[in-house]
Amino acid sequence: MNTIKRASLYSSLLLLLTFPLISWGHVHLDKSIPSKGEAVTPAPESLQLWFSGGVETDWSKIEVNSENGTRMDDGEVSHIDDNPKTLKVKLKPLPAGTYKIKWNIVAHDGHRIKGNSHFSVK
Amino acid sequence: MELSLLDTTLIALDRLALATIIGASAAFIWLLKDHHARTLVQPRLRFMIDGALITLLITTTVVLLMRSATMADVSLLAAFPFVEKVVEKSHFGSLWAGRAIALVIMITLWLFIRKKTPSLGCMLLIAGCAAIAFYISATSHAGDEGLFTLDNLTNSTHIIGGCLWGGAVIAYLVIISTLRQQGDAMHEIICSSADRLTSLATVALALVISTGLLNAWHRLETITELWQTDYGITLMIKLGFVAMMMAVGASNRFIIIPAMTGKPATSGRFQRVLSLDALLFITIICIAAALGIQGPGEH
Repeated sequence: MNTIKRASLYSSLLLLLTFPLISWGHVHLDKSIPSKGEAVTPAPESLQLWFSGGVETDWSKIEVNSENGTRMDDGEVSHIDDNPKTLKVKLKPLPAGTYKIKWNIVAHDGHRIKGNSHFSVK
Repeated sequence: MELSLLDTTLIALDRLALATIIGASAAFIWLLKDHHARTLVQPRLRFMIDGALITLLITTTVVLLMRSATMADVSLLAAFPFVEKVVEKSHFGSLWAGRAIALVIMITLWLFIRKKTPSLGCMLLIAGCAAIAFYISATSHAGDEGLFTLDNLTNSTHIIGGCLWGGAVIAYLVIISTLRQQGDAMHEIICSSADRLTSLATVALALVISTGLLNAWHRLETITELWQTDYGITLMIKLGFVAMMMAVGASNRFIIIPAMTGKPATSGRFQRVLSLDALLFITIICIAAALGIQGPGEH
């Protein structure tokens, strides 16, 4: 009986370690350049996003807006060096100020993930 | 919110159908060796498989429609015009097409040979379900580096192992209830097939654990999220159910089945414990489906 209890305990602990990791389903933002809240100089020529999984270019949108709401990106979303876990948009010349980022992307699993961020140019 | 609930229900039904097909096929091939018992059980298992195949066909279609709605950012009713573009111009769409082709081939073959050569039919169903599991896995993180990678193969095997484990328990419930209706004459066959069920479950568990460890090896950095996010807490609840299912399986193997020999009255207790095991499995599937929709917390 003790052997059964011990075997059950060890097996349960083993599962606790292994089972969770099969279900990390959705993609999330890992990092961005410029990063959230960063004050950069000179002004970046593009906004680059790295995700935890593959993302679609055809179905994803990224918007960079100035404080007065002017769109500052060219609207063309593409991968960085053909890496499917990345997205980028080219930026228009950015004067000093704060910029809001809104991303609305579709991951390879077909789910949509939205988020926002900001950065400033000194 | 309503779409999320529909999505969760759909994914749960989809995985349950997959598990039922794998479990019923495996049960027919490996658990029943007696010809008379096979003849008795065969129509019910076939009915189970037919129902699961129809369910899988419906969920496969509705999943495409729902993902099209999500990807195009429109309502479900407005999603029809986007379906073609989703299939042609998205990673999800190309994988969905692979899954749909596998399902259509599987159903066609099954319809032709299910009565003449059911064992061969069941083997083909398991192969078809393995292909579908492969495509399901490829839409998750496991498919990030491509289709034919160790990561995707490991995760697919993990899904198949889990489906085999739970699906065999559900199928065996149908077997035991059919055989018990024949009275005590079938008790020895119940005992021998129950022995085979625990062996099958052990193999499935070994698959789940070994592939789970490989998954952990790749993604261990995320483990802190287990206690830091709502998602992690939900996940821990799921793990609790998994541990319970293991404990029930262990009690079957080491206590209940050995005590059944020569005592027909004890098979009722075994059937009740198996019902609990099946309920735990269905709960795990529902929680896993909810986790898939919820996703980890924002970073």
